[in-house]
Amino acid sequence: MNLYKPSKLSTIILFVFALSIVSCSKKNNSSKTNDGILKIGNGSEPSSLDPHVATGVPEHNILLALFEGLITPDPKTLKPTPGMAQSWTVSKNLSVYTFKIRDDAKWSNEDPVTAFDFEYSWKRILTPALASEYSYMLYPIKNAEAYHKGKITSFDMVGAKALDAKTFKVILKGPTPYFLKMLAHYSTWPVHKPTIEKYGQFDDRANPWTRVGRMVNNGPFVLKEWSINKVLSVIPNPKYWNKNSVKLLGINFYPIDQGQTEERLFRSGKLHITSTVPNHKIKTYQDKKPDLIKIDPYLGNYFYRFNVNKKPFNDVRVRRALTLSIDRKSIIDNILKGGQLPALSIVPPNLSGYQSPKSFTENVMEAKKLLSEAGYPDGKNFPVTEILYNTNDSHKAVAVAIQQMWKKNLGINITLNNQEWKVYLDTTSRLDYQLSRGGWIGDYPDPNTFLDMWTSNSGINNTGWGNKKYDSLIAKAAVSSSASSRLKILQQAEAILIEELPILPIYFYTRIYLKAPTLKGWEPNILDNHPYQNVSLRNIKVKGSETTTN
Amino acid sequence: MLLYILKRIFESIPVLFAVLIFTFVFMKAAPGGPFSSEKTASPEVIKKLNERYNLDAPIVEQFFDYLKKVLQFDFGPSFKYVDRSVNEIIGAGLPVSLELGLYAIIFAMLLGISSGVFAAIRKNTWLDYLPMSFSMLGICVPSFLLGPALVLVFAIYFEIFPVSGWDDWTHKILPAITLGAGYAAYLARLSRAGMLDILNQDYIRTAKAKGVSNSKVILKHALKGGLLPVISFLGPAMAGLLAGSFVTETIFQIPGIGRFYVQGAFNRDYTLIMGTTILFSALLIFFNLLSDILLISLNPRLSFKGDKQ
Repeated sequence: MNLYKPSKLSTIILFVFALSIVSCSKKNNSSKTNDGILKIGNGSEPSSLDPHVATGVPEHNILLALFEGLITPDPKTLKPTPGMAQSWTVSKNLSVYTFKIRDDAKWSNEDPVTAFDFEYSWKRILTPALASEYSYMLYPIKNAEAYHKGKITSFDMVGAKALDAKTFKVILKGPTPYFLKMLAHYSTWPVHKPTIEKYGQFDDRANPWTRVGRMVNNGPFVLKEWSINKVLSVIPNPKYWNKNSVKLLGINFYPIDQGQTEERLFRSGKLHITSTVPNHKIKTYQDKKPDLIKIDPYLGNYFYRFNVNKKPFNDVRVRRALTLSIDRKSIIDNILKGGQLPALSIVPPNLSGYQSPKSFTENVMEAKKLLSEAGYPDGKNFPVTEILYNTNDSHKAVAVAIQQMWKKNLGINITLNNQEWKVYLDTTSRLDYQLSRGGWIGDYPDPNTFLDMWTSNSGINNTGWGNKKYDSLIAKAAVSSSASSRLKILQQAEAILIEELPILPIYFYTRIYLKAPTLKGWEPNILDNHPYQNVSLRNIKVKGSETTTN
Repeated sequence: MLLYILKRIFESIPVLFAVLIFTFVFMKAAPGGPFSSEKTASPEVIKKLNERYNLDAPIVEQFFDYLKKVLQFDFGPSFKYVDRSVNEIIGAGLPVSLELGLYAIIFAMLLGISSGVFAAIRKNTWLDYLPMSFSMLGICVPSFLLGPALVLVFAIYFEIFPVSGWDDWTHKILPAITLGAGYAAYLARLSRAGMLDILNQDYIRTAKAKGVSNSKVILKHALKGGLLPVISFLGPAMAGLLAGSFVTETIFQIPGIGRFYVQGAFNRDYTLIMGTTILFSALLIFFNLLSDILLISLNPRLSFKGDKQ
């Protein structure tokens, strides 16, 4: 039959085609070897590269390569070390900082970085019309909040002043012991005035000055390519003051929002570091490739909010009973599997110098007793209660486990309700819930970032809970001039939270990621902050000889 | 024919307008907004943001302001990707999605039509059963399963193709197969049914009786009629390929517009939602028109109504 002929022919063509593909791509497959470019799985497409407009972790990872603030954090301890400021002095009352800008501080176009750049930048982020979501980071500065809220209009009254090109003076509204550490946040980093004003308005958040070929920056790298949803590449900045410390030949940030895709890329040698590890792969890596998976402590807590305006959670005994009757370790070991820590307090551990006050212990008997005192013996008459969480497999698994624990331990019935992220945010902020999942990642390494959000006038409290004594303690801590007494005050504040439990602490986050063995200098720290000057890639050659790039 | 095309284009205007209104209303009715986040900004900041993006104006005014811009082909600034315009995002993503869609449809047509035609000719033999069983499988297996499976086999195990990305042609094979497989299966079934229908027609029997060779009968006489259902399917399929490429684009890390379409909705990026929805609607209308024109020119029983007048 002649009808078969084309089919045979096409088979042959297909076969030859397939062969040619195999032979071609085998040759191309050389990217596993080290080209000195660090390849990072960076979660999602950055919303902005303007340090005064950007928010989010992917944005932080990129900005860290492009900009540098007055200080840079030590990669291990996060202790402030000189950055754009070569030195600084602090007044006795811890309220006045004088920074000396280094002489060799340069923008990528060779302009010197001056104290005026910092004054300009801080004025910019505090300008109301820019509507920066991180302006509050600068609120410890005298009159910064008033300026940002439009109560004063002259920036001269704000405590940020360039005395001359090399001297930048900052006056705080009270001693803020974590002020220097806060300078590691990109909201305090400088921008280049002539560039901003060349491409748009000073206070326009959509000013497109951050594009390739336009951006002038002062960090260790400069922007080389920014292809939407594909890749953002940076290469070393020859004008960077500390350029000799930079060992990488470049960094590629890939916006990969799917953990599975990221893991496959990592496995094929196309990524050195991932932003997450899919939950179900954690165990496999731990068993089979323990040298590739990293689990570091991370500055974040995971909790359930109680709506204290609604029955039954207006009764602290009920809140306490529910808090005492879940087995956090079991949730971590059986569901999360990422080495998280059970949360028996609000502030995560490992915050230098701070010790959370004495807290509760999980105790089902006591929980039953409390519930019965509150009028629900063995869970009788307990209203049907709903846990609200944003749609996510991990949140769901945790909620199901807690639902079972409460059913078994207290005899109460819980239903689950998941909502899409933005809907969930809306429902939570309207307090239209009974129990709502929440989480918080610290902005700076200080207990305050986990405590001041629960004051009664905080926009992110969302529990209906308020306590005057708590509010005054947080306010008092902010102006306390002694570091140790300040921590004591914060401790007292946290003790109130633990006593009243407007939230139910569940666990403290860990940062779980995959890391190539060739990557060196990626030190674990609780802020997941890795200055790229300290990072290098090592060649691991077949013969066993190891070389460092550059 | 020109008249027909003009008429169809004219008819599509109210359709697009309806899409615009419905999308706008539903989008605004959805809880949460572009600026709601876990780190709720102060009321002052939210107020400034709303002013900046004209969200403080009455909703009807917002709609007409937007409409005015759209008529000038300006889809406005993105809320999420702060310094980008929606035009810019579409400009970057659409060509990639079109390219991917094109490869997928080529793959689907090559595989689908050839196996469907063979199946029809060899009805009730293994050449029929085998591709038809495969096509059932192709319809059933979703791309989020097929994609990772292909990657696992061809990229990670055999290392023939890259795991993901969008650079040279090697990056494009697996995504095209992933996206096209379901359509290939559909086309196989459609073309088999179409061919069977035609092969039973009198004029085919006549041709065979006159001694025309089998291959000539198939290629010259049967194919033209047998593939008509395929063509009417291709129009919506092409638009579906574009809009449905989200999963494939995510699996293979392809910088197409499908990802923005979905991310836009999650981020409540109002202008991006509107822009991509209008774009996809327009493409759907366009591809439908294209397939109708093809259909009419291939099928003598249909004609352009406009021509008769």
